[in-house]
Amino acid sequence: MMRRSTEVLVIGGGATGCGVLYDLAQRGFKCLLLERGGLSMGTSGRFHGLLHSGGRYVTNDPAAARECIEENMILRQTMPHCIENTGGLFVTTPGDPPDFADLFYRSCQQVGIPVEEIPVAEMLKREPLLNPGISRAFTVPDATVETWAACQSLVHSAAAYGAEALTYHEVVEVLVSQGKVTGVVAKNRVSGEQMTIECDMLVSATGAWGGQIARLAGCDLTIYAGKGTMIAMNYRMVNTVVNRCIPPHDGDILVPIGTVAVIGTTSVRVDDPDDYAIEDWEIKLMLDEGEKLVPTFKKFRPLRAWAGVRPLYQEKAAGADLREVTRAYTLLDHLPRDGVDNFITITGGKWATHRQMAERTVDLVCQKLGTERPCQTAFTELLAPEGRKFYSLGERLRKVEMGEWPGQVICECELVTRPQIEETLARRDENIINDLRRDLRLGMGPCQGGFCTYRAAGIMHEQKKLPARETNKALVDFLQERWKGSLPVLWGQQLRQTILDEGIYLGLLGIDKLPVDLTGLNQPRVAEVETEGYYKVGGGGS
Amino acid sequence: MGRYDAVIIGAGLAGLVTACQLARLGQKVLLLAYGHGALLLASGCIDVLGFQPASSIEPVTDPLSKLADFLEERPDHPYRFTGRDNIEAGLTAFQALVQAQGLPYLGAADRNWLLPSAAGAVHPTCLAPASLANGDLSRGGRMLIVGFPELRDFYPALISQNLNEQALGVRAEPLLVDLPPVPISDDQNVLPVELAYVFERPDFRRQVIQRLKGQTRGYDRVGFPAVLGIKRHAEVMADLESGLGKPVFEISTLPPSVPGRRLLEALRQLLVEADGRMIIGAQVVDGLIEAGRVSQIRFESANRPKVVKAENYILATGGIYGGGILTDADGGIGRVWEPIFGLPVMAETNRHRWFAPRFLEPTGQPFANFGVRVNQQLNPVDENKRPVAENLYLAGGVIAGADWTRGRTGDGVALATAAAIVKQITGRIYADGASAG
Amino acid sequence: MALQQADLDEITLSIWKQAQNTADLCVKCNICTSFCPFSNVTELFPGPKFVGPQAQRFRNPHEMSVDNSVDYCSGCGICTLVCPHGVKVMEMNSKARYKLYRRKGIPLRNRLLGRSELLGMISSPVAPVANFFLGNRLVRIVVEKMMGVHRDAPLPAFSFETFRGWYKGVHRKAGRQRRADKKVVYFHGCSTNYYEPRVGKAAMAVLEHNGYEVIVPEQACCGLPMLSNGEFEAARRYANKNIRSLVDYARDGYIILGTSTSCTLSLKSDYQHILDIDTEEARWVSRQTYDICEFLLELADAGQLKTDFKPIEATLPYHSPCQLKAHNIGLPAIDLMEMIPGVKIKHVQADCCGIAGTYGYKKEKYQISQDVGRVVFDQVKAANSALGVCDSETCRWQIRQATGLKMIHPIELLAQAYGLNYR
Repeated sequence: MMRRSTEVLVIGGGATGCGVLYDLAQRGFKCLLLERGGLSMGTSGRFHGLLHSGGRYVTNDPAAARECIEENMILRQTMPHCIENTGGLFVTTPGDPPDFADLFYRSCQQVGIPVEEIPVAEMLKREPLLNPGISRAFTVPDATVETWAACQSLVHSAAAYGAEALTYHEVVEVLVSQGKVTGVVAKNRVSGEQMTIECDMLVSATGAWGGQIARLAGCDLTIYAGKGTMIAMNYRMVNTVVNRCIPPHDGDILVPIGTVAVIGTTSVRVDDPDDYAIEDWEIKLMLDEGEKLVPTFKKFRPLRAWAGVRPLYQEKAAGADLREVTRAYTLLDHLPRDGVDNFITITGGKWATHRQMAERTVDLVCQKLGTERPCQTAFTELLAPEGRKFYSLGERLRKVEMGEWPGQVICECELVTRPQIEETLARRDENIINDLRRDLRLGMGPCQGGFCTYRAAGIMHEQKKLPARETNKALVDFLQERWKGSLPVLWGQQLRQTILDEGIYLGLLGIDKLPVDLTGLNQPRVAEVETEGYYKVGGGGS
Repeated sequence: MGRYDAVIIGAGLAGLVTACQLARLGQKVLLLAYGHGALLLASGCIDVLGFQPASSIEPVTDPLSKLADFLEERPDHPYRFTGRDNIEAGLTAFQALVQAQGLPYLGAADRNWLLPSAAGAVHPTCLAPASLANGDLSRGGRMLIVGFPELRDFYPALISQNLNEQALGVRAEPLLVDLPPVPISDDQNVLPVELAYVFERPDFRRQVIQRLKGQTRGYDRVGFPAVLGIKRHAEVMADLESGLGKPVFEISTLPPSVPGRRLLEALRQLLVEADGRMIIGAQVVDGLIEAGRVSQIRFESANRPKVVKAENYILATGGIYGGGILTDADGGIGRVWEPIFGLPVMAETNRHRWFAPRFLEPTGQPFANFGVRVNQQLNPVDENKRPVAENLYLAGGVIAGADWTRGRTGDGVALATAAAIVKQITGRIYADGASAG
Repeated sequence: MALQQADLDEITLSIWKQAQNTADLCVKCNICTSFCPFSNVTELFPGPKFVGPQAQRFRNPHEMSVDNSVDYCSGCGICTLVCPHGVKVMEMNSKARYKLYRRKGIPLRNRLLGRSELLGMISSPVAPVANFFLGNRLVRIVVEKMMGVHRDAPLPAFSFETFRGWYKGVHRKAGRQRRADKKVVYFHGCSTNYYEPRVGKAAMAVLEHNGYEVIVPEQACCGLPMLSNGEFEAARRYANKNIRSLVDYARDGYIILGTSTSCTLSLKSDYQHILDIDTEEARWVSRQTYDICEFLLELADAGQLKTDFKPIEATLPYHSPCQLKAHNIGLPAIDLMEMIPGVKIKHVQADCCGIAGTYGYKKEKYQISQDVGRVVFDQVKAANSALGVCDSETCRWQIRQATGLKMIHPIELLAQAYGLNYR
């Protein structure tokens, strides 16, 4: 078995894990990150993309709100290229408690969140599709974040300091000797090979899966998984993040992210972060809530639904409503807690505070390793190969029009070019079209891969000289993945789209009759369709 | 009093062929359609029965012989109402129609071509235009599959490898050739239809042939993506075959389909020559049924609905994809309806029962069978099997049970139902310019 | 003031329709692109799907326009007609072009081409002189260099006598028919007024022959040339002027007839779907607007059209303008003309003659326009006829320029068949 060693080993390739890797590397540690899937495949890749201003927490969790606004301001400096500066709105819709607005406003001011009340007429000029019955509107500095770009950026910047991230590597064993963690055994999920990695310190940044990792190290840790379901609506009906001005509630945010608008979310406790279902009542609820913000909401076309699991940890578990469990993060040193040294777990929190979480984590690493190295992530910019300005919606179109992104447009919905695909494929060993989707947004538009899946498979086949069966597998796999996510919201125009895609792949291309080897990593996980209530779609992993 | 004998709603294969045949038989027809649809998205061939059972990967070689088995497995399929006779009649009539337009379709009801798909799978089809039929895999031999890097909708290496893997008796090899400069398109993002227009230019073809010279040695035939001309397709084919000295065939690729477009143009031309009228872009909003007959339909013009009256009405609006059957949902409750006449639809209200867990579910997706039930005369019927309107006929995918994907039966259903309806209305079927019973 | 639920539904539905122009419905099938007459002849236009529902996903209303290629959309509207899902591609492109020009600024040439009424007002009184100059090759070359109007673009000749001038003068002197019950309103448009008053005269003659009194109210340019050049504000001014002028007639049940399929399409549809003038008045005017052939055919179907046609033995090529197709009324001109004994119409099988309003006049688009139109010109020439028929003025000028064939409006054929002396 291959052996490697490093100083600090980080498990978890979400925003927190990548942030920890970057901070470690910047502070001069030799470090390595292991992620069992692709980067940001867990919760970080499954939320709505909102970079909080903190406005949602001002009334019930001011500490968390303050963290949010501080980090919001910092991230705009360190990773502007991953952020779209949409701004945010808090609005009071008919039926919402009218006095909450004033409480909200005062609380924002107390916490230090820049807030301004605007006339409803102005709000409507800015966002003509919003409910004209809205009675009050406030602006706050919400923004949206391209999570994959951010994780990539963090890892890329960490690599400049010598760090490394290994995707599709799953930790199967944690090696503990005399009360100290000495390393892990990791399995390469693509090749099946195992390797041993020795380390001086192990950091688990695995979010809702933190309990599983901790148990491997012999520590008893329970982290609740709070499932949140979201729907991506095909049309970007608002260009500002719109929040309901009410105490946190299901379906109270509408986020413009990339070319779509996401309505979210719910909060349901699930037992296994890898196995949960999207339920009819969630879909109905979110569409109904969406209707309150945008009165013709249900006439728009939903693309797909998915869920992420929030890690919710509190030493003493709260009652049934998971929203009461604090969203502030928790940093656990397992030595005093469980008697296991060289092992830290960072969990909880939200995307907006990942940098701060990483800072505190690496501070603890320093402390435990007996060295003093100050954190600089708040004042250093991440590497941004395409330039340092905020992401803008029209950028891709402009680049294609101006010829700055030459080459064939392969995914026409999202304007992904062939050179981009080839470059991404060259960086990877795995032949998974889903990774192309995450990196480049291929297949994320209205046709959900109807046209580009075939093209991407053809390109991958040519470039990597794959056996035909493997290409067929990649194609089938991706289509199944797209299918799975669309089922909860499949009706109307999206159903027509899907039938067109079926017509192409089966009627025209005949891929259902091609030889495909379905064993191994890319085996499609079968969604079990229950007759009542919900779609079991499986969770993270691949 | 009406200007028209028959109004056909929907310009898919079913609608167009019905309109053409009725017009040829002397009827005054009006074809109304909300855009052009499925004809342009499919391969351009006529699929009658491709796989039986649907889960089989062995293609059917003789569709008619498998019909009985097929109907046993799928008793609700429209073939039950058309019967074998109408399938055969429909195919013959179709061949006569397109032959007259200089776009002959080769084949017969008792034999399937086995054509290569653009993914290298086997596409069993009953009638195919010559350029596609030339790719029949049962002919064996060595085939060179030519692709162009500028055309992103075609990957010869994948096609060849998949064909070779399946031990079909052919040996396929890929060749990528750079196109000469494409005058009408951004060089990189050429649509198959654009490329087809460009191939109609002799000097462009000459340069392509030049680039292929010497590379076709040792091969029995040369395959291209289906981009070899639209109106001047025959000329393009002849030129390439003589220039390369080899038989040439085409493989249909991603929509919009060029062979489908050729077929559409041929059928449109037919309808014009037979003095039929066509309005594309007009959405039919409703139809009135009074005393068991349709008395009128209304369609949207740019500013106001217009009324049309006729003796007979044919609904060929397609299934869910065609927009002939609409769907909506609220939570787990699904709603499925036929929007023009409000005909009773056979469907599930529990939306969970619309889908199978796997996208590639071999037996198909339940929603593919949603549609309106018909009787032997192809009138729509209610739950008690009584006809809803005696002068209303249903053709094609709008009929319940017409899942066209899995069995590969869609085109056969279109032609068979068209034939049955034309016979119902006129007592005749068009064939060869004279009437044949 | 709290909005009532009913108000909300009305407003929000209207906003929804306006806001997306149905981009949400696109399934990316590219059927629109495959039928686009323009993207199939030039690489400068990537196609209606690309610049329409696809690019729309990347347009942030609060940001500047980022794409130029939408300028090469001609506005012919074939894309909208062939889309099986109801995406209003052409309308979307028009709006995107408006946004583009807000950023770029509208060049003087486009403003001038958009102002057919103004051009007519200035030039018509000096028509012989204006026509002389514009017929001069050297002048045209200078105009091309300075203004960007192609030297060979099919500019029509100004008419010294305007239609309105004739209507108020000669026609009034001849004594107008006054029938209490049978009155229609005639929207003549700039082309009839300043370039081809004979079309208006033929229309009047035919209508009066059938017992109608024709009212010609105050009216302005329909605004379409401005609209198609992205000058929405100006187009809206003209549109509102026309609506004000016509709405009372509409409400009183008068039919508003037009002989230009472009003008009538504006009244029927563009005001609402492109200019977003979605008022009750606009809807009244829209509902009551008819193309003249559409109207006369309905009369014929009701047995109310006079059929005392003298035979005309002729096989004539007829081109249905793209704008006529967008009316979705079929081909009433053909059915009407074939009521004349001896007339056989050869319908040109093509979607667009290429002129597309003011598009084909522009230097950078002239060749594209000619390439698009070739399929029409070839068929017209092959018909070997003494004349050709078309209901749109710019199409007539384009086809005449390219083929040398004399082109008339269908109503002129009818007038001739009735034996009416309308010239």
